[in-house]
Amino acid sequence: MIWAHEGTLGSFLSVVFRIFETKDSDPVIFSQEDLGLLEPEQQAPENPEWARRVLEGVRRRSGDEARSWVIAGFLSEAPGREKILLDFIRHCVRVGSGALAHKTQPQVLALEALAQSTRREAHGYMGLLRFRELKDGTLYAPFRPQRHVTPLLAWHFTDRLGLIPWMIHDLGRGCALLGAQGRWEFYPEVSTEQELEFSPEEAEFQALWQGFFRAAGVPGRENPELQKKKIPQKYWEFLIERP
Amino acid sequence: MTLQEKLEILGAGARYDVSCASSGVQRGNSGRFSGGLGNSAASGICHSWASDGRCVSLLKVLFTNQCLYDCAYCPNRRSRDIPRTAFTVQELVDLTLGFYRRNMIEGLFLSSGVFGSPDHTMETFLKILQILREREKFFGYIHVKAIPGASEDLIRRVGAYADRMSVNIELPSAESLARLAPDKTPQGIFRPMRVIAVETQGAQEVSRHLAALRGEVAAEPAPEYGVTGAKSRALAAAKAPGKFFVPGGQSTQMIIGASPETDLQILGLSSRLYQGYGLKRVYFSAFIPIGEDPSLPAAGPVPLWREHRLYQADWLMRFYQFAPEELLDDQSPNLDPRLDPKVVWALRHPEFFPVDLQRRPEPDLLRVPGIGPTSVRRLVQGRRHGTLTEEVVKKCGVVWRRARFFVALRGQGPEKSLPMAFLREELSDPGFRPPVNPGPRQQEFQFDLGS
Repeated sequence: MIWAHEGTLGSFLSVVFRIFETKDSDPVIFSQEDLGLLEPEQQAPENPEWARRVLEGVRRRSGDEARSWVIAGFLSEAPGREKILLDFIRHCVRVGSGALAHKTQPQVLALEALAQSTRREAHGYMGLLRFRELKDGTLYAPFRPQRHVTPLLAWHFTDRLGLIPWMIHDLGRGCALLGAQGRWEFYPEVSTEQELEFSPEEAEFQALWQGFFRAAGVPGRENPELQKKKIPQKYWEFLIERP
Repeated sequence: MTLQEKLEILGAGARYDVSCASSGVQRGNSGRFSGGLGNSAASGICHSWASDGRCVSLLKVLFTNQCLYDCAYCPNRRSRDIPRTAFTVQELVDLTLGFYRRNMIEGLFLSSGVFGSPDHTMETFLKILQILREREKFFGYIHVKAIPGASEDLIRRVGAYADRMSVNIELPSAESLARLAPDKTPQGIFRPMRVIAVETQGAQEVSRHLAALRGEVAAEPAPEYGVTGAKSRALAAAKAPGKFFVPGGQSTQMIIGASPETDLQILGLSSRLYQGYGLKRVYFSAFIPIGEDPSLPAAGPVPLWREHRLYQADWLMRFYQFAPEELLDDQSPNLDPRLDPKVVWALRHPEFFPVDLQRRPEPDLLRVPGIGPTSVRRLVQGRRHGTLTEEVVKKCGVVWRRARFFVALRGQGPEKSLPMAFLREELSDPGFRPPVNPGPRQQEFQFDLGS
């Protein structure tokens, strides 16, 4: 049966839940966006309880890491990930603990690669996001990630920034994380048309950072190829410093 | 002088201290709901990469570039005519917090020229750290230098606020230290190292380790620069329970190429430091001539490739269970510029190969060129579930182009009669140019953003 999900993790997992519930023997999942005007053969509304149960099921069968792979794998937004994820989830259900050790199984290797690619980009942004201080004291960080890494950044910045209000804005997808008072919330749609007012110290801090950054490189050891290899150009757009 | 100018001078002054790790400490923001700022990630976080390709993860500055000392190799030496300046305590605190909020840094790396006295300098450090931790509730990463010659009491008090503390050994022998940095003494360097080791591991542990290196019980151990015979293993620091003291451990740095010691001496010393003091890292910094001092080598090419080989050897000692005397000996006491030390060892020990990947124990797998600890882990998992093939081995991350000369799969080994010249050519780094030199590897977890 051909199923379609709405693009969100919750909707995808709801489809997976229904596939297991209906014992569909030959399921294929597409995103509705890929199907375009075509109607899927089977539907599943997004149901947070179903999604939670699928993740919990994976966790109970194969551990926290397996559950984490499913989330990170989906957020990679790689084309064809639905099949890899579904195969992996069935593999976990069948094999139980030790599912991840089957490195020779294509679904395990493939999902591991997807999950790692998402995590790598998320970890990269933990370092490369730059916040700007707005007039009201909010810290604002715009970026344009390739994969949907925003949810993976939530906990780290909530913990790091504590009481200071902050916002991480995915300009490509138009979504954002807002944090304050040690908590966070995800907003799937945020307008990108905004006139931002920065705090009076902001310009000075940016200049200070650029100066420090330039002074940090040791003359006689210039290595622009290595620098470029470490920070690929796609990350440069929102950096304060110029590599 | 503006703050901008100060920062550029004092940032430039600190850049030769190559340690920049922000790793090793996992800490949440315990003041998250009451105004605390900052946390610490065990893997460390790189925030940027400077023009030399090195990671920028901390605000690495000198408090002042004034200095009482006149060490021959140092750009900030007393006798040099350069603009001198200093931060105020408040300026440095504001810079740290301002950059941290904007996610430019994981924390502060605080060093300084020696002003007043070593203890006076450390007291200023203490003040800054107290303000950051107690008044500002800053929980980010702090790496603070221990000034050679500082008192034990101050080392202990400053260490209670820092994640990592380091004192630079600078030169690989007492003779070189006396010649190039006569203001510093071996006692002044090793005493802080011992204090930090004792505070992080307990006095008995440290005494035991140091004694094992010399075969006698140590009271106030004299510093030992000699080569060790024992196998090196990075010690896990066992902290006194409940006490916060430099949870990220200590490291040190020595300058390569300013003095005549061989790589064997350098690695031997390194190995003793890991064993005796439980250091997390020994850093090597290629000497960059900054002026004409007759006691130093005349201006020449910066020995980046030598630094690179030393790091490779250091990695072999810490993660691949090699001992320094397996890599070098009195006949060839220096590392080969064209071949990495693991390959050199492999070519010198043909009797060890081919290694049957299906059967040989893990330490043996680690000795194969092209196979590292991650690949070994995957190979061992993989071989439990079936027979290893070339395809599976490649999927485990093995660099087949190198390993193929040294392994046997399914009973089939490599061609026996390959001429040495051919092997050396195949296994050497491209030309004489060292590979894209990563400098000090900042983290054990290599996150490559390419792709």
